[in-house]
Amino acid sequence: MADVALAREIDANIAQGARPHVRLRRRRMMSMTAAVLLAPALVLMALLLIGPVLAVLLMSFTDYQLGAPTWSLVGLENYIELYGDRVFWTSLTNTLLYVAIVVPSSIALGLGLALLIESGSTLRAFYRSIFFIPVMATLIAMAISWEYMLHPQFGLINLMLKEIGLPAQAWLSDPVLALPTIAAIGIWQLFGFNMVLFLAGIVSIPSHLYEAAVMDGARSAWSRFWLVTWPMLGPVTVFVAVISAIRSFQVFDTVHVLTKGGPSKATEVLLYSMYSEGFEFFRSGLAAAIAVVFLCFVLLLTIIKARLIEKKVHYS
Amino acid sequence: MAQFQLSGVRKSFDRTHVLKGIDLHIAEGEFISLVGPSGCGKSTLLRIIAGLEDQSEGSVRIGGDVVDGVRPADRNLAMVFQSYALYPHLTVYNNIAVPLRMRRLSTLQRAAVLRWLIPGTRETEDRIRSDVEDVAKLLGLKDLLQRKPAQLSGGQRQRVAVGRAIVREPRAFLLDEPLSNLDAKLRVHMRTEIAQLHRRLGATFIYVTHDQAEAMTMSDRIAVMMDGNIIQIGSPDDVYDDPQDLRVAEFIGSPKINILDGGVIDEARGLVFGSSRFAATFLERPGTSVRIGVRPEALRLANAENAPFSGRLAHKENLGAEVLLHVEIPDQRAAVIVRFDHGGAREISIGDAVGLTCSPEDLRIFGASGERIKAEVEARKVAHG
Repeated sequence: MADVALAREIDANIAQGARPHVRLRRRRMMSMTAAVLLAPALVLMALLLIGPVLAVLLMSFTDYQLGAPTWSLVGLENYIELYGDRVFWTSLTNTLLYVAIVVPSSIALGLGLALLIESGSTLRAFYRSIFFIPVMATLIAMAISWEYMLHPQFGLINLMLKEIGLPAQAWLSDPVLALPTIAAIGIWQLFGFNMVLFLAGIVSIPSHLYEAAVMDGARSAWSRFWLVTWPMLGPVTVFVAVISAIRSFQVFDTVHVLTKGGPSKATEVLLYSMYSEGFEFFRSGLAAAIAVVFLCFVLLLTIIKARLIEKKVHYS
Repeated sequence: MAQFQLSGVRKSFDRTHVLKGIDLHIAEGEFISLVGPSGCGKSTLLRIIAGLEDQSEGSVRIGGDVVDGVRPADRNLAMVFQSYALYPHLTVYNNIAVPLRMRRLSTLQRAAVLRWLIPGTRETEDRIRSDVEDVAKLLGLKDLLQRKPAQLSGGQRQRVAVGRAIVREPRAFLLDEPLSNLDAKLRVHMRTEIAQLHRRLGATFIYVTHDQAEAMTMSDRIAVMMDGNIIQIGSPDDVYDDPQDLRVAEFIGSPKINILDGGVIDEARGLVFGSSRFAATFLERPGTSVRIGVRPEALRLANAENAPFSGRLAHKENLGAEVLLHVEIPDQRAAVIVRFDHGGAREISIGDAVGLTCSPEDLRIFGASGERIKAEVEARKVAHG
């Protein structure tokens, strides 16, 4: 009975709020602890992410030139200049075109390969690794290999075309072919990554759904794909699409190594314009404005993903 | 509707033999339960009948046709899965409509775009709508047709799964533990619903469960499976009253049958237990030691001094409609359970000496390896030695 009485006494103390200052102090301690634990992450984020983005935003309103001792605020002048600049619009169109080629192709290829690998029974690990190699390779080094393969005279691709009686192409110097060629390399680099994500998605589809589909009369693999696989892969597909789009917006390495934006601006893309404005012409303010435009696109994609699509693919 | 004939069905995964030669005939319109503990191969057998799994040996006939190698979709069977396996992205309406769309519409007519341009799509969809609505009315799903499975309770999902199975007219229904994800109360309720559905449809039902109560309450016949074999098949009464194997006796019935060690067959082929003798003729060599099985409801109270079974009351369970006494008998592994109707055995309290007796015909005698030893009951009274 003694401990019951003791418990009652403690309860009573708590109930009447015997020492409110103790509780207040405890709460303050709690929030202090939280702040201390959060601090490293917050500092790093401010230093490495938010700070630079704000700096770029600020810089886009100045006439700062790389290495110049002074700078002054010019308001929206950089954006106005971009608006009137034909090269900027070419660069933006090229980037969007590049994204429009690379994203659907790398998704279709990644999904197709994932389905093939998953339906086969042998050499799965082998195929997985082989198709994943381009993702792991350094793109800038791979771009140099591609340069040799695409060489108009002695490149492997043209030699093969000649062998089967097709005309050789000037892959990187023909203004019509240059951007699709760069996009093809982009697809080659990206689809392995998408494939791995799709493989993970396919594995997580409950097998009883396929069994139910079969019992329901879905005879062909085609109808099972549309009844089960595709809808169940919805969340993965959205994620893959957004990641692929963001990565495609970032196309730079291949352009820098292979074409330098040429021929006649046919492969000029956003990040390459930013690079040349900022580090070749030293117009950092203008480069910053391009960077802001680029960030807006990435932000837009993220918002679309979070707000619109995610709700439609999670079936709850 | 169809009858099923399974002959010599075996299934092995690598070196594990899951099914060891199943012969089974299922009559048209019958409700048969495959019941057994987990791992006995009952689900595998159902999946072989469905065509989701191929048997290693043996053959399956449905309605006279050998279906070995025939794809599940072409066997025209419907299945209800334990997890319901509803399509999470489709509404209840569309879930139930899937089997009809798959069978009545061509691939082009199912395609999302342009499907309405193909002649006949609208008419077929109208017929599908009326069929789905009929089923929804039958199962009480009318107000839920536009919901997604995630917005339904377990019982509602189960109903949708049943709806998807009955919306077309399959040759038989295969049910794989359809009630095991429901809570106890709902399970009892759905038992009745499924039995009524069977009577209404008159179709063949093959029902897999590990719950003997489900098997007992719904089935025309029960096939008890253990370790990849059907060890007994018969009506619920047969299996309960006349178990051919100790494992069947122990599996069927709740509370479990009481098993007492230490019985011996004497020279006159009677059964001796302790100082008591049951005058019956058992078809077994004299001197064989046997295990005695007796159902909780077959035991009666008797004078503790000279009753064949005597011990002390260890525990009393009052379940309202019935009372279960747990009587500890010396040298026995488990307490003997005695069942009384409401109000029975009020005068006995824990610790009291209890004597128990039963009629010789209520004894089920099993040999050392669990096989049933048959009896020719001679006298109905118990002789005391």
